[in-house]
Amino acid sequence: MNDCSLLDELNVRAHDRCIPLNVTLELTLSCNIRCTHCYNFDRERPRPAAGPELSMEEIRALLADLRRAGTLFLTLTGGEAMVHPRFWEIADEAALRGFAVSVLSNGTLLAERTCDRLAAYPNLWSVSLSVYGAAAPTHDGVTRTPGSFERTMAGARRLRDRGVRTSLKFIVMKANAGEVGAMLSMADAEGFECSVDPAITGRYDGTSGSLATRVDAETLEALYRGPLRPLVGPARTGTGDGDFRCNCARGNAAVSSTGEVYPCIATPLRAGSIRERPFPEIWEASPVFRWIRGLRVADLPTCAPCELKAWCRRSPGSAYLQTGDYTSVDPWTCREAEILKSIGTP
Amino acid sequence: MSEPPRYRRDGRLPSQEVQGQAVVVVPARRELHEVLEESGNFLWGQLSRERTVSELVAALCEEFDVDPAVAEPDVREFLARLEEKGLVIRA
Repeated sequence: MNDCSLLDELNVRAHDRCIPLNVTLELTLSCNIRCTHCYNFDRERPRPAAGPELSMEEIRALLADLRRAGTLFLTLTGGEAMVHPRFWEIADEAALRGFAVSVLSNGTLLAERTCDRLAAYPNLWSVSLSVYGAAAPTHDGVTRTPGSFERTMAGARRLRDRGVRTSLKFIVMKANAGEVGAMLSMADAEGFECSVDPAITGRYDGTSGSLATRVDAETLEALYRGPLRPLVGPARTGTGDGDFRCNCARGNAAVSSTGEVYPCIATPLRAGSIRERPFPEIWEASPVFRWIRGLRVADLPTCAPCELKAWCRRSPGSAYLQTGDYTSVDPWTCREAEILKSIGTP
Repeated sequence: MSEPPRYRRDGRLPSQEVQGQAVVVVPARRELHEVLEESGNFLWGQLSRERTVSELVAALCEEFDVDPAVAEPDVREFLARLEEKGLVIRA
């Protein structure tokens, strides 16, 4: 098999056999922009107190452990991953260890020489850049950083022109709801892959100011009836087959900038710390991970009897951040499923 | 007489063993390849170092107790296939 259908098959195998094929490593919470919806923490407030971020030595040891545990796809994220003072050493180490690396970035630091350097990595799988509008006023309003749109898009073009698989990750929110169509057209016209995500979550610091940036149900419905119509369809997960088909803690895991291990980067449910136990031990033995792996739809009290499962895009991370309960559901997700069903049902 | 060619994996490409089978990623072409069969994965393991066809045939025969005359065409075909995909290079 020699195309990316193998990727889907591998993810199924990773899910079924609990192989941490995909790991996201949050290099730092530091960031050079101040997005209104940031899920890390409220960027208008002082950074929450936390332990020191992982040292280079700890990251080296972690990458060796991930290699042994079976990881192939390593995603580097932040904060802004590229502000990490040792980003290039980490990228070198990841190449040496044989990972296919993806970088999630805001793209503002992608100068010509930086792009030359990134594009030279033969193990670079993709770069995904967060974009919050079709034009500078909207995007820069979200990042609260003048000039960020121009820098991000210039960086995206530089990577694309160097043959790097570059995608634009559009986060849909109140501020840009009126230009979602233009955002999609922009990606299409410039030859970028793109993804669209209307799900804004609460923050890891426990504050919920980010939720004020979410689109309301009326706007979401208008978007799904309009520019996002191609996305309307039954979801792949939560189909009511008795299995909670999510790759969290099965094929996916994440490690925070301070070494906390999570089921995925969107779900800061602590399974352990690599400062206390090596990653493979946490992966195998963590009670949190074992509990997640044992969950079935029947264990989700709100979701089990719900008739919208086929349309539901439930994210355990969103549920956890919103309610503190991994098995709960974010009511916004339920409303989204209602909308999707109402549009998608003939 | 020239030296026989020596082969090795392209070590720059990401790879991982998934359930006993090597998976190799070629990011530049957005491809994934899986090395199938036990003998193929054995040869893939051997190719972590530079190897000639003769060395690979000898190693394969020792591991699987097969006749070199049978093994050699298989080794050559395996190398040709992986070289064509860019997974194996000549040192």
